[in-house]
Amino acid sequence: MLNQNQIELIHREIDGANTPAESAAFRSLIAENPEAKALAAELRGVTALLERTELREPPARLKQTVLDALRQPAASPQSIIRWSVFQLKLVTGQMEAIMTRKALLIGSAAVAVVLVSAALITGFPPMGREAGTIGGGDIPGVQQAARYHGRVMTQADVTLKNPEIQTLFQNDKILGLVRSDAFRQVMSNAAYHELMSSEAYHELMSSEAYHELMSSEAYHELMASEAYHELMASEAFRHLQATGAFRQAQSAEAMRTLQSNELFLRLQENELFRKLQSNEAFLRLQSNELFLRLQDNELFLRLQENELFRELQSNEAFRQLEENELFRNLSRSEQLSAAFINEAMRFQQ
Amino acid sequence: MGRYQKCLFNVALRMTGNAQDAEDATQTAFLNAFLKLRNYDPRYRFFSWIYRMAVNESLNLLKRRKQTVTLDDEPAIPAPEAGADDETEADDRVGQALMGLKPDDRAVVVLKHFVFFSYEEIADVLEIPVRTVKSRLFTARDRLRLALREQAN
Repeated sequence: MLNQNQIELIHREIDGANTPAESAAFRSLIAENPEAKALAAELRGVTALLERTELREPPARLKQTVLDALRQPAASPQSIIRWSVFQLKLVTGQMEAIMTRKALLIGSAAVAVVLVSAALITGFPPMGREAGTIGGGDIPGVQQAARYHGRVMTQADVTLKNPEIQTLFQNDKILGLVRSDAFRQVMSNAAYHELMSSEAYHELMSSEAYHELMSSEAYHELMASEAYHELMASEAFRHLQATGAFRQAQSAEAMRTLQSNELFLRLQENELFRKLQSNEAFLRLQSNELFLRLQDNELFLRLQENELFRELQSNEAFRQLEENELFRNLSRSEQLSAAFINEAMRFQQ
Repeated sequence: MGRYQKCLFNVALRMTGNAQDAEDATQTAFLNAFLKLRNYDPRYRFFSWIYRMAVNESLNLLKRRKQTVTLDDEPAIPAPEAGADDETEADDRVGQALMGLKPDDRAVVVLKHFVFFSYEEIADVLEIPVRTVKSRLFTARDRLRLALREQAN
């Protein structure tokens, strides 16, 4: 009966992985042990059989299918039907990435919402000692609002002396947004509050990955692109988002349903959608690990269905705010994000 | 793409046991590779990276299909038709025996005997220790030996 070391010696010899000394030991073993000799012969036979098998030629269409998928070819209904299930998966994957991109937009929207809500709670904009705002009394021009007695944000949370923050708080775009009905209604939306208090959201907002993504040029390029905003505001996209088929697109069956979905086909033909899909910044963002994590976030999905959030997304004031350099700078600040999240959590209590 | 498509397709073919799945897995692997090219770290070997995608996609595909073929089950690769030549018959015998292995073990055998990777290269592709590669390979090859012996009888 061969022991484990002897068996491994035989296998390694067959793989050509033995040292000269081990090979000598192998030769001695098979010379002295008929069982070892038989095993070695049989394993050599297996190896020879495996390695004798010729490689098959891949289907000629393989290369073209991949290239077509990468090029995002013209998607007439006929060509979509002809596409393989795989290609459909890819397209759906990109759709999901767009969805997630939208979720990220909501992420930044949430920061904005919290930012402005903090200002609302505490008085907006800071207009001297009487107005009251976030922060302690040791900051000139800043007092805690008398109508709000939660934990006071301190300079450890955010430096209100920061001129950028002060300017942002006085920004008329923010003011316009805050005064919009859509914004106020979103603020009282249960799904929004649930999301804001969720562990997943908290984790996301404080993650390195999120901040890296939010501060990336690619993200800002995409956010500022006409194509993105027009697509987000397009009826076809919204209708598609609301379809059950799309939401269940993880399974092949749902993808087949989606394939025949008229809205899906319409969206495929949408020039803006195509433009966005070929946007290099967008493609770069798709490979971000964060996308995958966000896709699992049920609350993001629920919030996306919220009509008010949609309204907010196409709100011109919000859009301008997003493109506002100050807001971008602020959104890169981990401290500030954390502080605003704290404020939002206090607000909902 | 031209350089890798044949090898990746054959890896996927041996992993999944059928040409359609192999085509799907290869396409997905290439597309993932293109889409994630920016994430590729040039300090690592490109072939490890791309083969990893093909193997992982094949494994994912098998999981999705819950294809749990064992040696006792009906083979995924059909038995050779009467009159098939020796080469085809040998190919089919190998295919059947391979499908009797656990997918993780099969991946090691495929990379070793169809792509001719070293233990270290296989470890790199599958992101497992070299000792695990050896252990899986030796066990799998022994199972193949017994399966092929049984087929011959």
